[in-house]
Amino acid sequence: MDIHQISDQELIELIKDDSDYLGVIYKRCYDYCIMFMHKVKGSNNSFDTDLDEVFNDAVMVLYEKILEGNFKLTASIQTYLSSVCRFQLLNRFKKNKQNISLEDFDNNGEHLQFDGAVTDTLVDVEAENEEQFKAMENALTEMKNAGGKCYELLTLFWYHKKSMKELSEIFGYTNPANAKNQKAKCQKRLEKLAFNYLNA
Amino acid sequence: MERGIRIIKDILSNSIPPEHLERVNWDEVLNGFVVFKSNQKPLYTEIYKLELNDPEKLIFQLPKLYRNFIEEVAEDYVLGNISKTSEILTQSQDFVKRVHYLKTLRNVITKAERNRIKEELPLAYQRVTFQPSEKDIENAVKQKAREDLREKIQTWNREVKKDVILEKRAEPTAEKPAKNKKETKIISLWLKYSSVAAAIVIGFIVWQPHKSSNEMIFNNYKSNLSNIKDIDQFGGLDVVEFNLSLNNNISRDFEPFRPVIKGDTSYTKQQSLAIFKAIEEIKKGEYTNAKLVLTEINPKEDNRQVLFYLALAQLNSNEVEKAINNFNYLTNVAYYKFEIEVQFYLALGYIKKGELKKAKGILSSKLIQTSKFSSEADDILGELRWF
Repeated sequence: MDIHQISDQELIELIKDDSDYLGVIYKRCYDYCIMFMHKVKGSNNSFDTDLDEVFNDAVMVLYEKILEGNFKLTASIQTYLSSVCRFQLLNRFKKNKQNISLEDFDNNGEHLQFDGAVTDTLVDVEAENEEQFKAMENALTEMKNAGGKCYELLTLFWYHKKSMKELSEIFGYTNPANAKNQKAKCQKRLEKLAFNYLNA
Repeated sequence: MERGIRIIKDILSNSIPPEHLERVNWDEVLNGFVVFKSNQKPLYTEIYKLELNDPEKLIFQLPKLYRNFIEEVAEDYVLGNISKTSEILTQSQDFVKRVHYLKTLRNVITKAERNRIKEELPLAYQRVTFQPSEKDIENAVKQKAREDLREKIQTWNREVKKDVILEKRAEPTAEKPAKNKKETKIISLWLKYSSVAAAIVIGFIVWQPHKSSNEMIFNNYKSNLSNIKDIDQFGGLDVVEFNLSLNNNISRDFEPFRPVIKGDTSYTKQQSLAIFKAIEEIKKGEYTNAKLVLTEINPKEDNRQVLFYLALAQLNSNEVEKAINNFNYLTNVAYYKFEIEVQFYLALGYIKKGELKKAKGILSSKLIQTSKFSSEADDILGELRWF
């Protein structure tokens, strides 16, 4: 398979199975998006924001959309990412009370590829109970450092949205029921570790 | 209730004998589970209706099955699959507690995975395109396997000689046929050891667990700018005016063409200030803006000292090919001020590209080995993979 010849649609299918293919998107779209953001920002240099971070967040938006299974490619991936970058950049400006409107942005970005209707953005993860969240984070790190399959199994299930069937194939379990049992055990282990952190 | 019934069927499939499954009224069983915490009677009634041989056995398992049911519906709910069952269960404290816990779990994992993926994005492309030449692998494996095997054989020879000596001491009057038998045993043992060791050695060579990957080495050393951080506020560039304050505000009527940085073409004060600011950014590890500023002032044509900083910014922001070209260009400049720095970072560029032979050549050169980079160079040479 020649990676340079892969179409956007094919790439989305590959990303569903393996997030490493996001690297192809990074390679293809990074330069244009950074240039695009510099252009739409125009002369508003008083607000210093990390454009790499905005671009990375845009890639994550795309990835999570793909995982949800409701991502419909209406233009190119490049156009979609530029549009997400534009919207996220504008949000950052607003958050920092910068006096810039969407119109200013779009005038600056004239002749560049973007879709003004895209308002997708990376939603921050919530920590309703800070203490519990921290304990769980520590537990997960401990589980990761300990090695074994649990960390990967839980991340594949909860973040990458793999089904039990897919998990049984990835880890070589004889059937989805075994994958489910294994996941339940890992979750139980994580809960115990988190409990220890919470009560330390 | 379809999702809820699917979950209940899954949970009860191992607890109800297959011949009784047809009699189950799944809607009622599901209702029984939903209200189980406050009222067990409906579920008991449904179980007795099945006329099982030993209904008490199933009834005994119900608290555990109920916990499984809550867990599964909560999990489904957190994953975004909202059903009538989960809507009803939002009135149950057990369910709400579990949903809260699982949401925290999902959010913690989401945060960790987002960070990991973002961090690895620049490397992910290399991972999906990495295809070492089969010939290279084959040759390297052969060569290293031979060396290691030779070493092992020498060790076994020593062990075998020791065994023979011990054997002779134990049986000083042993007859000739017995000796032949012993030799055969030693040879077959030797063959067995050889095969096992060869397999281990080959596996070890392919894996190279004690070596770091090119990416890892590149990432460990690429942004190690300690060697340029102590360079003065002018980035070590040759300047004309030494009393320049970096915080000066430039007014429009300032003499626009008065040179500040000396070079092939002198830069104006305004350009110079922009360059100094870019160098400060590079020292802080912020490359994107610095790269844009330095690209715009066209250092390849105008000032080759400034070109070094542009190449450095490119190296650190995933433009390795451009960085290598610029560093290579600078290696040919006579009496170049940053000659050693250029060589060191060029080697890092080659590591990133996987051209290890070139990188090793530079790192072991006299120029680097007698420079301030010598210890870093030795560390890298020790960490680099064999191929």
